[in-house]
Amino acid sequence: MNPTTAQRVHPLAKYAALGAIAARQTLVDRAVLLGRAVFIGLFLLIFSQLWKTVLSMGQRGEHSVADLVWYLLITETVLIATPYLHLDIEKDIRNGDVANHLPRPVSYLWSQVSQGIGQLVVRFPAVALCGALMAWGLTGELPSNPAGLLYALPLTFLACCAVLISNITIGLLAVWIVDINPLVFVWQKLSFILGGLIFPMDIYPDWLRAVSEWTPFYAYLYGVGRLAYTPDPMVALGSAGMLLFWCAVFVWIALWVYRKALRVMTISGG
Amino acid sequence: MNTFVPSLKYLGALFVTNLKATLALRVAFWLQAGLMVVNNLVFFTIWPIFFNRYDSVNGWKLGHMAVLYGVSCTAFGVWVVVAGGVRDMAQLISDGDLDTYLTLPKNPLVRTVASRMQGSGWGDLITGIGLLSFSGVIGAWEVPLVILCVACASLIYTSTGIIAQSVAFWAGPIGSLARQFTEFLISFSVYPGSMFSGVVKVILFTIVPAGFISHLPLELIANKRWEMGAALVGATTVYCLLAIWVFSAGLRRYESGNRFGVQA
Repeated sequence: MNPTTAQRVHPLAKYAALGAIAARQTLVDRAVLLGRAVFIGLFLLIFSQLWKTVLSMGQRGEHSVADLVWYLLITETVLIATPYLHLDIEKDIRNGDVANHLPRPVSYLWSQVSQGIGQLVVRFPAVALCGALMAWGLTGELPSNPAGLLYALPLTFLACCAVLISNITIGLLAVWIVDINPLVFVWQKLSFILGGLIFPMDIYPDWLRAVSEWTPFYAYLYGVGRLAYTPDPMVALGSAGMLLFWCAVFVWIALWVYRKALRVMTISGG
Repeated sequence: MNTFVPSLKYLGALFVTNLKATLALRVAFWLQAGLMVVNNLVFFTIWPIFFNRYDSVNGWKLGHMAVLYGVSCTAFGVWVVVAGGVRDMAQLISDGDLDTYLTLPKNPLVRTVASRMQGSGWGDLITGIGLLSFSGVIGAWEVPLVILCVACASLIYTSTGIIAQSVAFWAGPIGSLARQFTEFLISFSVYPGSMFSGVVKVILFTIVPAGFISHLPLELIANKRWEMGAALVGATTVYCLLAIWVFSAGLRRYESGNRFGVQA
């Protein structure tokens, strides 16, 4: 490619190409895809058994087993389908490979985002489809108001994008804290609790639900998951608004952290 | 038996060395251990929330969950603190990096599994012991049973980890899959055993032995079902022997990476 042709390439085309390569690599890496599909199946199996046991004992509950399993499918898909890019970024920073990326005519941050979306485009349908088949197989039915699933589908993808950007930001923190694993664990577990990953927030005490509403976890897990049994367009619109807000916040934080990280890497030589 | 005692002494020496190496990065160590405690406690919080709304899961209540989680957590902590090298075995095998362990005049399995200590494992130990202490189920008489259960459960964790990672001798780079298998094992071991039945229950006492790691110990500790103790010790022996056999069989197929390296 001569310089004249290179100049004609749209800046976004570079990132689109990176995303396409990442999508193809994800398709080739079938073992990881299979592992993720099995993982979501396993969780659905465990919790379908839990809810069947609890609700069969005549204990009170607002939702049916099917509603709760489909809720879990949505919340688990958000976390399982999203690529763990923070681990790759941490590795790049720890072994110094990030220095090879910096001179390239693409931003390291946006190249990670585009690769993440490329992976997500393959993983999301694979995980969601396998999970949906499993949920249907385990409960034998769709949720009581299946129309909500139509709203949930695009919003779950948007939620995955929000988690992706937060993961990338956590990965960049390796410039300062080196080992990000403990931070990742805490972030994940906060998702469990404040996002209602496993149990819908309807069963939470009021005070805890009120606290979680101020966190991103509520938006990208419960906010989307509740659509499994709440097919209300206004609820879906509210969830979309919350997600877009948190996406914007995460992008802003990621850019800020990236600028700071670049300064540190430049000073210490990458 | 003539190699057992020296291997145990060697394991002790490796443990002390790994501990010194881990404590050398004091801030990182406390950060990892402390965050792991937070991580575990946050995860356990779902159960008080759940039991605040629902009475029980087939008779299992919050105290039972604390024992279940406590045994699993403590055993996992013992595993990654004493034998943290297991989790990197598949990578070593597929990269041909076992050479440095094979040339040493010690048992290569012991040397490999005890080559690393994960600082975060101390956080698991602290959480596990804390949950067991505050479960309201453990009294002075139960302490020996808890020690037995934790010892057996950590050996089962280690053995299944070795078996899963050793598949790399035949299948190549399966490190992430082997780790995922461990995640499955942990996942099943921290939920009430009473809710599983049929084929799932069979799997939990064979391929993914979560039943031996936490469900069966709970029956022994909380309900004093002594036959469970015998079953636990028997199963631990079987899994340990199986791990040794699989690793030895795999080692015969091992091909060197022909790389130069120094193992201090």
